[in-house]
Amino acid sequence: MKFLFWITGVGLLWATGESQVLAHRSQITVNSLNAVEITALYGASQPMQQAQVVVYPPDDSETPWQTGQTDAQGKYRFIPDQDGIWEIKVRQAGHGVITHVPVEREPETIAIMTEQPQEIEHQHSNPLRQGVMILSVLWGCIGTACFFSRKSN
Amino acid sequence: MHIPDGFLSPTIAFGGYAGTGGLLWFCCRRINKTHIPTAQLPKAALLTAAFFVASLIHIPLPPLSIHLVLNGLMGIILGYYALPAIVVGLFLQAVMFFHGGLFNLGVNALIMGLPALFAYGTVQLGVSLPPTHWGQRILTFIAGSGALLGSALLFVGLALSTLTPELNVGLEQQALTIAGLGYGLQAVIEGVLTVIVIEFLYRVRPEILNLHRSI
Repeated sequence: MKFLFWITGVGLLWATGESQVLAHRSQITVNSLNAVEITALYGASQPMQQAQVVVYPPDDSETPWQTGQTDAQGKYRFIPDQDGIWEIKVRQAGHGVITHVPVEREPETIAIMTEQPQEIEHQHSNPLRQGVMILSVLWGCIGTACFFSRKSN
Repeated sequence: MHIPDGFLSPTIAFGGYAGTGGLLWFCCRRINKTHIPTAQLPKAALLTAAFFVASLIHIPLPPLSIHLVLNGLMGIILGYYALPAIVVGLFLQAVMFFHGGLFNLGVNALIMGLPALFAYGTVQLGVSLPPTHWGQRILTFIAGSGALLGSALLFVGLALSTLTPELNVGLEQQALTIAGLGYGLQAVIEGVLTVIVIEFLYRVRPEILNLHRSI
């Protein structure tokens, strides 16, 4: 009989202890999803912290699909639920940018698209931009030369 | 202090172009009344380049970042040439660095250009005084910092009046308040810088300045 009580007591202690352990257990469920991450910056490197972000879906550029704020690194992530061109507006104190992100979801992959590098790459390859830059440099050189070579009356 | 494309309604953007067009016409008329209208063009080109580059120099002021505008300095040195110079500078910034935008070019030109003309008018009040005189120094400081503050007021006013419903008004107002403090500090920096540059030019190459006659 004593043995039976002892077994019951140990069992109760075990059960109690186990329940406490269960109460403190943390759990993370990991799902791999296609996500879009943007990084909003002032200039080339300073993050736009806590800037407002408005995300518009491909089929409706008037109704916001999601709103939020960037983090301390100026980053904002969202998981698009359809393919297409998503519009993202970032704004802080009147400054900001509106950009478009092409989304093509691929299952079994986490596709993080950063718009900023794409945009920068696009800007560098813009022929209009290059042409204006070359003309500006030429104009500046000629203007400076004329200014310093003119005869003072 | 550039309003990017997509943040203003077409009505305001076209209104900005109309206002800038009218002001450009007025400035060009005043320029045409000078003895040799083209004489100041190289100087205007140099100042346009300075204005263009100044906007790329960012001063971190967390959580914001400010950049030099120098529209007061441009107004003082260029007079009525300042507005065309600012328009060209803004155009280049928009095309080359997507700073601002072509759609809002007219509005941005008004934001920067009107205070530049104010700066020119301010220093003309002390036209008989040399830049090294304390009275003219104070006027120059007021012109330099006042032009920046004027631009900031126009910018903040437009930013507040064009808030769309999907944005959190409280957050934007909070950000604009912090930005306002930054602009206040920037105004002091630009005011001091303007005084230093004007005095330097007066000592080194005084013919660059048009302080002794109005055009």
